Amino acid sequence: MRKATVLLIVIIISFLASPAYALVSSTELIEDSKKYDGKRISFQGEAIGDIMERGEYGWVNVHDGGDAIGVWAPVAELRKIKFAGDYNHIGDTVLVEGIFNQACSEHAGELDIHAESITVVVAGSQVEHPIDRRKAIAAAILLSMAITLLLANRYQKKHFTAAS
Amino acid sequence: MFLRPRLIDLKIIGFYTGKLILGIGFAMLLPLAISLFNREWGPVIDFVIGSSIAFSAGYLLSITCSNKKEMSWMHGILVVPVAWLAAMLFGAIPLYLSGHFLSFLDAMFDAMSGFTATGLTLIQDLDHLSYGHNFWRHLTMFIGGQGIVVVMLTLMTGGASGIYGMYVGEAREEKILPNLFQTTRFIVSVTLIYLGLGVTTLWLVGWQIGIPPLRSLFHAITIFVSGFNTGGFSPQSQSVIYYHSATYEFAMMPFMIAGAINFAVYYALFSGNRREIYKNAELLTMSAAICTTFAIAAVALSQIGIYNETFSVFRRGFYQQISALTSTGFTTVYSSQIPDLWGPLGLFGMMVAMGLGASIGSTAGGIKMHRLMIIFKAFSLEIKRMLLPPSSVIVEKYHHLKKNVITEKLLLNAFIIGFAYVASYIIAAIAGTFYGYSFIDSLFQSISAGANNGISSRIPLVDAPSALKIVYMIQMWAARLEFISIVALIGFIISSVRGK
Repeated sequence: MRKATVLLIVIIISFLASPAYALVSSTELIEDSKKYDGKRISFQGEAIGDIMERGEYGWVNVHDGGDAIGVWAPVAELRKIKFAGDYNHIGDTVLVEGIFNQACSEHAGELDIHAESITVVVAGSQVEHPIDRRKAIAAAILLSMAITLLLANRYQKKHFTAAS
Repeated sequence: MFLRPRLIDLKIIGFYTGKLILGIGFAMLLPLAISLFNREWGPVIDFVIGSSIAFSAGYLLSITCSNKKEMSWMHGILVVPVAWLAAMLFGAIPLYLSGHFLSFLDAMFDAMSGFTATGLTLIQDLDHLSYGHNFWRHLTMFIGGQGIVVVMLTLMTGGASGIYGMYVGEAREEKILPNLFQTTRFIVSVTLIYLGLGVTTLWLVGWQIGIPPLRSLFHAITIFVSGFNTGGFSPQSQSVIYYHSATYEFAMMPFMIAGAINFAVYYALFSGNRREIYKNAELLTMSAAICTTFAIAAVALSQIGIYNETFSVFRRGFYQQISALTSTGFTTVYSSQIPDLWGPLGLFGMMVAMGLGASIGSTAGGIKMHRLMIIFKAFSLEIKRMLLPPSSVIVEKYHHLKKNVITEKLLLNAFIIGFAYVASYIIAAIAGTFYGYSFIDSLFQSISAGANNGISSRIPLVDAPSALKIVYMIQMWAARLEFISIVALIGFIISSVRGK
């Protein structure tokens, strides 16, 4: 009885978390764009760069490891995204559900997804970049070498000029 | 009989190459400052390492190759290809240290692509690259686009006597002003005027389309530098698609065209000769080429029927043709869409536009309009010769700053350089097919590299064999220098071995 309950809970959770439509990769969307044109799809990846709000709607670019696809979504959906990926951040992993356009008529031929919903699947975070000590030591040694050679060059120039 | 070069010749070449390497070291201080401003400590260390190695090598060459002899024209032309290789080597160091490249060869590929203002890239995970490294990628395009050796050495040596050899070696055929130092200053001044205009425009448009002000400024600087120098690197992995904005695309387009115009034409305009813009044969040829290649793209895009509105056809087709013809290499469509969706005619239009290129004496690559115009004039001359009586004196003229006559020397130059470009496209395409890629994809990629364009084909460059990457690197290098100085270098190497 307990096993059956646990199994039921697992099934319910996986049903709730799973995308409503076929999960498609960026490679499939770009290389097989005709097949998915106008269809409802699910696309999952990291929000990168900037959230560009334009009135009631806006753009976010979502990268799934292959390529990034532009997602056009209501501002309310976009504001669920707290982190967009850059050097200092890992962006939120988002599940986008909406209609894929091979050449969107609303956006002058863009290949895009018009999102109906955006769900943050994994929250992004700040990235720590610890200093590589070996690199720091190498930098100090190389800098000293460069300064020594600069001084040697100055000395030679002075000497050379004085002699000529 | 070749004369074997003497030690002093090597010393002169080494001395000026050292000066250039020092210049590369100084240039790295800019991204270092940007990394400091953004508190990117790892990249700060990368640029300290990179610039220290460049300074050390530069000073070492200055010390060991120190000499009193004046640089000759021939030394000047030989310094250029060697210095460009050195720039690639030292420029690649901070890129490789970023950890965004699979190998040092890949970092060198990007450095060569940057300095030659090509725009092909092998970088991994560009969207997480630091501001400092990203700025350095774009700065390489600025340095290379302006003329890496001439600008740096004119500034650092005050214009040595053999510097004109370098000027020619870097594929700038016309001296705009009598003094080369003044010419370089004029080129840099024009660039700075456009820099102010371009960065302000793109910064405001970027802000207006939803990019925060500071980030918009960074995007504006990088996109301007890349666009005006007809390079094609972009700060994000999606190229111009990232912005999802027709306004942004159209705002950058005038600067892409401006960078592809001969700087001598700017001098004529600034000197009050405004009619030059309507009369210049090269500009007229370029306008005709833009119209023709866009007409091909428009027909192709209308045929495939995926772009339903005229504006979509214009936005995709016109932008891509401008990007191809000016050899910028920005894209508003994914690279595989061109061969997959645009059909054979669209692909053909793109290859023609990429292969032809824009103006001589500009930052653009490719065969170039001036040569195309001369070749057309040569055909016209031959037809006239056939039709008119043998005793007729036939002269073919064209307007470029003044009335010019088509001479045999001009014709020969246009045919030889034009032939060298076409040969480079075909040889690298054959190399691509040798490694199992389709001929069309290989040809597209080879034209893109050989015309310093940077639009990618379906060939996954990162996974391509090292030998093929090296072929593309040689193509970018030779094409940017327009072959002459490379031939001179080969001659120099041969005479070092076989000369007496």
